[in-house]
Amino acid sequence: MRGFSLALMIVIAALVLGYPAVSNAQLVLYDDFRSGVIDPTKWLGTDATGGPGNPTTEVARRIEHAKLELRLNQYGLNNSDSGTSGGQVRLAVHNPAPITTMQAAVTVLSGAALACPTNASATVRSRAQIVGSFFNDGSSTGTGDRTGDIIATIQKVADATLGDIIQAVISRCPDASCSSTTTLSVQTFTTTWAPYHAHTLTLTWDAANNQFVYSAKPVLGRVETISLAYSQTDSAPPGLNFKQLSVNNSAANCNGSRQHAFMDALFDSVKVNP
Amino acid sequence: MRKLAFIVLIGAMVLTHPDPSHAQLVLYDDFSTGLIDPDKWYGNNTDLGSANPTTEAVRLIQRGQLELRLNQYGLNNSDSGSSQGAIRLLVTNPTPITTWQATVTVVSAVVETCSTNPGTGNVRAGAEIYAHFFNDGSSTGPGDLTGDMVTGIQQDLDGTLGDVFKAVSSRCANSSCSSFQSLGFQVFTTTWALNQPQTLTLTWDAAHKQFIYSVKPVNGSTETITIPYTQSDSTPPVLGFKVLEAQNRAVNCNGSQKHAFMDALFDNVMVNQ
Repeated sequence: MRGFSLALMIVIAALVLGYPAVSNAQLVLYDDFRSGVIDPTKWLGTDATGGPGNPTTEVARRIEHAKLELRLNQYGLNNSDSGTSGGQVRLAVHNPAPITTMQAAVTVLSGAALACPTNASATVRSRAQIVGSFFNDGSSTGTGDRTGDIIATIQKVADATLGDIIQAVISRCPDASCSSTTTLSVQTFTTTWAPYHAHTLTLTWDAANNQFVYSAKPVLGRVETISLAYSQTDSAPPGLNFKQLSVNNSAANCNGSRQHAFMDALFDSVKVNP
Repeated sequence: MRKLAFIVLIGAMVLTHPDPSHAQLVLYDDFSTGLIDPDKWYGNNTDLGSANPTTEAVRLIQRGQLELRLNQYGLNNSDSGSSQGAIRLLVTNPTPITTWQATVTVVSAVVETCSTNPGTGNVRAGAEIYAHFFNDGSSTGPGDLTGDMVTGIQQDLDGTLGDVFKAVSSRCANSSCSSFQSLGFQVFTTTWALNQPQTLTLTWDAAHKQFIYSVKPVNGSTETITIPYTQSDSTPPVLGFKVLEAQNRAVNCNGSQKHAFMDALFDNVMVNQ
């Protein structure tokens, strides 16, 4: 009898330990990209590119081997030692409003961001991201005015200074166009990434607890979770609601030398809350 | 006997010598470097929105050729008009270029038509080279493209005309060049097939106030079209684009989302010296 109780306890313990987190268990598949082409009823693509002085050259948004590939090569200005030049390739969901959790398996195939010794203060990096706007802090004057939109991001970063890291970020749009953002909170995971190693990245807006919850799970490793709290009011919808997968590169401007930031990443098994 | 040999030699030289416009061309890029050269090129895209999404977009060098690929969907709540998206590679310093040539190979192309929107013309998937060569004097200054002359050769899968080449001359009709006034349009007799390279050449012949368009299949003869213009051509274009592009116009179709898809390779880009 004692042996039976012990066995039962072991079974229960195994069930508890082996059971996925509640939030993960509730997620449903949004797309596993097995249809061969990007589903136009689920997704739309967008881009941000530089000009002749800071060109965006290679770009890819396509399905390769049943995974979404996002690739971008961004160059910086070569006549300035100030700031960076940005480029993005994105795939956004059509109906982002109901999504409070977004998850994807993200594999970086190649990522590089070259620093400029004469512009050492610039934040130079390439990023594979899950990113969304979840609410507005009350500053927006209405639809289209993004001032006060709160954006949460989980990202694999090839950072010229920090190396290959995974970050959790909360940022805020400071103006109507949100052409730049103000970082409210950022934390780096202990977990790092390497090329060709997939991580399941999960981003959740936990409105009940005024926080965003981020997790990174290697295929053969433990989940690491980070929670970032916010103090803003969160009852208003964002001026521009979006949830997307993206590659977002910031290349160093570098006088006399053309630097670039490159990222080639695969996204798969996109899941969302029901 | 010596005289006959001399005549034969001269004849052979004349017959094998390329025509003057081609002889003066020099290689701009053959995409053999693996990566797109940022000193020669920059890229941009036109993506549409949630209701008529642009999905696949590729601008990469593949096996020594530039690949431009785009998939554009139309609206599915309208039986009027079409939805246009594009992916481009543009020359960094376009001003000196008056002849613009590339070898173009269409790898795959799809255009869906809409039975309830048959009146919308120019539904197409296109691989093209185009340029702004001059302004007709209508522009009020930087940023006002009104009067920029846009000319191009389009290798189109056209929803009505099929696999055709088009010589197009048009004029920007407003400051953003979002609308055009057509000044000339001709369809080549030459047609195209998948995986068959064609050399497309576009020349601004200012001396004769005309644009010259030519298409040459790899194993065929050159077909040339000229389109004259009457506009003043002494003012430089506001935007002197020289562009390689995949540009798709998907038909809007109520109740059914149609698409236009183009996957094309560009190689051996040549320009005047």
